Amino acid sequence: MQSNNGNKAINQSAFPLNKLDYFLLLILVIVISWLYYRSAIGVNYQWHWAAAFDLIFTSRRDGSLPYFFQGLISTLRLTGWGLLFALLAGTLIGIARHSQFALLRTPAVLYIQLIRNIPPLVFIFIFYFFVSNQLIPLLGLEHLLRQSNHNSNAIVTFLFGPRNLWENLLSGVFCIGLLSAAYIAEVVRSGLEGIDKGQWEAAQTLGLSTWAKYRFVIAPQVISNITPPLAGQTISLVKDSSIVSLISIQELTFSGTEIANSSGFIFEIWIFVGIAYLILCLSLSLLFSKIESKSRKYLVK
Amino acid sequence: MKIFKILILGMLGVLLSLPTSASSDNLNQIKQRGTLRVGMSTFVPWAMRDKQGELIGFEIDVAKRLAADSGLKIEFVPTAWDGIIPALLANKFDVIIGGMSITEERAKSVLFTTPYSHSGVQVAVNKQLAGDVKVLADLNSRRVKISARRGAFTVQVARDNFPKAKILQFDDDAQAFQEVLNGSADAVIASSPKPEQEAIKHSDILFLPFKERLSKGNEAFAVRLGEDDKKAYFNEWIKARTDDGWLAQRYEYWFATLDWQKQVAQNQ
Amino acid sequence: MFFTLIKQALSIILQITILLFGVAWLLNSGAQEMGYTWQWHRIPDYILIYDEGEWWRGELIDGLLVTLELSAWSLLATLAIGLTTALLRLSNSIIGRIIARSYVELIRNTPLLVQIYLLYFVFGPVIGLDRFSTAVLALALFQGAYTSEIFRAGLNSISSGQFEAAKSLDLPLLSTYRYVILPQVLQKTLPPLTNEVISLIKNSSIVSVMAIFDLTTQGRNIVSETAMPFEIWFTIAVIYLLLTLSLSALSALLEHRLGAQWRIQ
Repeated sequence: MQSNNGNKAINQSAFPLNKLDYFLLLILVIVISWLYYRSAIGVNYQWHWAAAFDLIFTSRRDGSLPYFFQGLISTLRLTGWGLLFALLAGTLIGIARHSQFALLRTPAVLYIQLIRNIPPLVFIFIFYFFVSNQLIPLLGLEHLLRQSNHNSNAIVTFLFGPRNLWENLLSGVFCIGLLSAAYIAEVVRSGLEGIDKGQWEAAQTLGLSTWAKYRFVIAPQVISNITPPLAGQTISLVKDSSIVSLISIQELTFSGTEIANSSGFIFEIWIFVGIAYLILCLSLSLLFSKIESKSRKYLVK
Repeated sequence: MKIFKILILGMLGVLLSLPTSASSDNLNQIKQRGTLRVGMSTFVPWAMRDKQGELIGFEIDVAKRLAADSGLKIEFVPTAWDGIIPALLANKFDVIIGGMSITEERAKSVLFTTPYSHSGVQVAVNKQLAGDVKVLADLNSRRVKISARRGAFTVQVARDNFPKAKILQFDDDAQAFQEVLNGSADAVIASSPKPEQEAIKHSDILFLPFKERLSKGNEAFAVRLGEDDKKAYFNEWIKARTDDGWLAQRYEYWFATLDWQKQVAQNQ
Repeated sequence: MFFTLIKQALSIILQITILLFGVAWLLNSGAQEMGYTWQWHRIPDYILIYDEGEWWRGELIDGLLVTLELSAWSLLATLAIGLTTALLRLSNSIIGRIIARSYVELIRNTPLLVQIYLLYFVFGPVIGLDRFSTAVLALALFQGAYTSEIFRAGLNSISSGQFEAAKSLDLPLLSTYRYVILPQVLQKTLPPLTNEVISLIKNSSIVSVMAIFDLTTQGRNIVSETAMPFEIWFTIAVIYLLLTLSLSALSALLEHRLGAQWRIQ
């Protein structure tokens, strides 16, 4: 491939397709036609794109959003609250990790090591069997989540979903939040450490109040520092949220499984699920790069 | 420092040993709450999602009728099958209504009511891979792969009948069947009449080698140990619905006919 | 150097043990509340069985071996895919760059679980691969996208002076790569690459949805049949921890030795 190096100077034409391009195009054509041939002959399946598409967009019996999209919104809620929880927990753990007290530091370090070294799936099953069963009664939330029956208003439903799924959401948030907190702890720590000491001192010299100091000097720099890794963490959060479908958290992958199994349109539904995640993650990437460029506007680097 | 650690651990231990709410007055709790929470799992046609995303199926009908007869509202908690008993024990719902077969092993952790249906277990085999299977012993070989749903009674039946075969456990029945249809497993073992229905639907790939069901099967509701009042109440209801033939009629609709397929999707 | 490593390892083990005791004690009280009876005595049966005068491997060890086998093959495939993608990304071919870029973006923006469902239940039958190979492919495709970024960074960091020097020495292209470029790339990318191996091992646990008998699948099967989730998952977590921590130690060792030899700056 480096043999094209010599052609660099020559290949300045408006349509720079070179030998490698043609070779790759040929391979692509071969692969795609082989796949097409195999799917037509090799597999005993009839595609039902129209019916599956229809199914995705059919509203619920009471007129609310289609089940597929309810799952998607669940995923969004999980991601949003999960991120919040992970940020809070991650920051606290990051602080604990660097405290001088071994009592605080050791559990933090061990927790981070644990999360980073065992598979997320194993952690999720451990969480499901250990924590989930103990945590809800321990936090005194049992009555709120399981027993009471009054209806809630629209804002609460928008933020947290239907009442009967609150416990589900909470378990999911704890689970993926705890997974991400370990990584966010590191991100926040390195973000804070990346602020030049001179910045703190200069702000002090200028006589800025603590609030002003954080708002105008420190925070913009921290935010622009941590936004790239944070963006990565958010996308990881979205992807981890699909694993919690295995412990019956009702989000997009879970709904997708139910719809696919019930209707029999296994192939089509899974492709739609993949596309949904793709759109979600790409939009989040876009959002974060906008935030990053905006926060850099005020910085002179 | 060390004393600190011990103190904190001690406090947490005390907190954890505080008694949680007793479960024997769960029936009263349900009545107070006004809603019956039922744990189930997607399993066509016991429970599934129709075109509008609503839950339908034999188990759904049974649960809805039970709630209606008791003057309660109903709430379904879809749960993965291999975690459904731990979920019940953790108080996430009041009862499991999901075609759960009564087994000795399960009876150690949950309390079963009297049976309300008798499905049994059947095997569907891939014609191309194992078309010459005629007797049970034909599938009992190390080279045979049988797919099943994890946590289901069928796994045990498979181990009992085909100890040498390799059992592939999937999260869902649909996946287990897909495995055989794809030719990656020789046979699938599942609760009747699913194998029968699938063999009809894919008659070019699957067939049923055994005329007799492998196990008679008794399915019942499951509640937590010690909840005898709930068990008695459910038993009464089951007896009533068996006597007036409602259960048999519903079973007939969901398992003997395929009328319900229009509700689910066009090609089911 | 060796002595400090041992000291560090021992202190970590001591801390983990203390914490595990604390956690175990907490869980014990919690479990007793639930009326749960511990069955630790059954665990060794799943690791090793002594029967008929021989040692037999238990299910958990079988699972561990499958995990290792899966990870090893996936590693080879990952390196191949990662390197190819990185080279395509840096090449002059527009199509090549487009392919590489779309592949990386596609993989990085969809969950691994969904990829496995798609590959196994949808595309697997089309391609006609057996279960194990499909799992290797799925893991390699996933990890390859991330590994390609590491290779790209590594390749980019080689200053063009190296290429020019090699050219002026009249080295043929292949030798340039073999003796000059790749060793430097290797030294730079080895530490992040060992992280990729750890990631591979962690991600391999998700193939349990494909009924591959790796360590996690064995765990789920045993738990669903015997209802002793605590003991089994604890044991499995410990096994994974041992595996990944020893790999991390290996990585630290490698970085120490390679870094000292090759450090240029």
